[in-house]
Amino acid sequence: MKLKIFFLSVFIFLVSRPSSGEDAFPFIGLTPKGKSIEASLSKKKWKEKMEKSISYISQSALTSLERIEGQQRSPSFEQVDIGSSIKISLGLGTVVKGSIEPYFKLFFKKRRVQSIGE
Amino acid sequence: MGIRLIISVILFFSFSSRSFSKVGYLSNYWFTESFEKNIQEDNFQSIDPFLSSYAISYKDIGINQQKSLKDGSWYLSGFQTSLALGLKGKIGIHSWGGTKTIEIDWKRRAPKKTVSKERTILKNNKKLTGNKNTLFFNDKTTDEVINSKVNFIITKARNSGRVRNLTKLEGELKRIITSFQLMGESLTSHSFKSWRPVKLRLDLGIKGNGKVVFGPLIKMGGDLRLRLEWKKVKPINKNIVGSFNKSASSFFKKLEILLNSSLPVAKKKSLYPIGHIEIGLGIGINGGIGIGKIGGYGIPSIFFKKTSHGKEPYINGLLERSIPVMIENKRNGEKNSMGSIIFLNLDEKRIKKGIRKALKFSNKFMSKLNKKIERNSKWEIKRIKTQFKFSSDGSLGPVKISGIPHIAFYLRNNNK
Repeated sequence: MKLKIFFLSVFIFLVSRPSSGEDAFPFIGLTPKGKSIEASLSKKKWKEKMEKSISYISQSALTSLERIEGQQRSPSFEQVDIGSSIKISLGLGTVVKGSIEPYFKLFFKKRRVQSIGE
Repeated sequence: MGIRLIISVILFFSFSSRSFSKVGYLSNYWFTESFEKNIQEDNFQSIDPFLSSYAISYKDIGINQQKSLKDGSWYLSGFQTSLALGLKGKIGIHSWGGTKTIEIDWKRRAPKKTVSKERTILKNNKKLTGNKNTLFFNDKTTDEVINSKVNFIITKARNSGRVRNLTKLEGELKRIITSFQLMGESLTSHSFKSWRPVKLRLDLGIKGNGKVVFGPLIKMGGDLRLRLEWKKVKPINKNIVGSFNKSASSFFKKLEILLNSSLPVAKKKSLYPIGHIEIGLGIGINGGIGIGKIGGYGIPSIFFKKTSHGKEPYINGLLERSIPVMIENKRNGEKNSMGSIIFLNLDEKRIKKGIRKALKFSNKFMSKLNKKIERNSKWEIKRIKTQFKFSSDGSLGPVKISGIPHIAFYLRNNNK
């Protein structure tokens, strides 16, 4: 009897816990048809993906900007904004259930070398 | 008996904690109007764990890669991320489509000794962030300039190969841009004292058949996107007769008084000052003008900026009137339908209360997120944009993923 009560208590506790999300970020958006959707992705995986994406885009953007700077082509702008989204597949192995596509923007600025007062 | 009591107690505590905690969901406090004086303000406790994790996840993002390019002329100076609210108020990272509730601009956390140098240099350099898809207009723009801009867009559309009917597009663009320019010019004929409209913005999409669409009908990645921005350049010319009718003049007057009475006068430097307020405009069938949706159909949104620092006197009597607000009236049981648009006459006191609460939300959110950013984080918040929507019962709350906002606040972060 005591064992039954113990297992019942554990079962009730597990069922009544708030939905597990402490290790995952929720992603919220609308489909093209206007339906609201939510998905979860582990925080660790999210950080890895963002780090990779920002690194990749930064590398490409900065390399291109330095090339333009080196060739002295159109140096009149001092800031470049790049909008991007990353597509992260959700699912298990080859069974892909969907993807999340967060959008973010990166800002690149030209370094100034003049001293104060110039 | 004892066993039954134990089970009942366990059941009670387990399920009550689940139903009342609502962790991860924004409190209903921010979506509803309260008429009770002693109601406890929400302190974002329910979204505290999310904000903590969110701030940590951006602590040193992208920094390692920058080290290899530190001698270059360019550097990654910042990035922008966004948050959204689900239909039940759950907060999360914005993905796919829909409306962002909060946009956060992050910037490099510079060592204190270099901050003043950067400020001095930046003061002397205007930000040149020309977006090739943004057309700029001002009160000096002539018809010739408008025609040349239209020709420019037509050429771009032709070269893209994505638009078939260029003749139709040309006609629509001329009509839209001319109206847009006229609206901007009319604003200059009004004398605004404390909150001055400094910019109009209209986002539009160009379909393959040459048709121009707005708001939710613009398909990201499918349509050609264009932004029109009008900025005031010349000082007020009182000799220009505005093409606004009486109702429009009355509306703008009421709006200025409303903003002046709703928003605080900064006696000392605020930690999170308002940079701009963006308000959507709506025009009813009978030509009446009111507060509409930002990015709504064919109507620009207007940006206001505080000009004077002193307390402007306002006449209490004017707050007794009402302002029309364009609201989507969704029919019952039709979750995904557009619904009909109605004009709800809200009394100014109610709107004032809503705006104050919206600003409180924005300030609290900025403050809360700021505190979550660790001292050794490489990034800090530069500014945030928060968006709010009027619901059908007249209350103003943070906009959810499927909503379209009416008002947006742009707050700077002066908390170093």
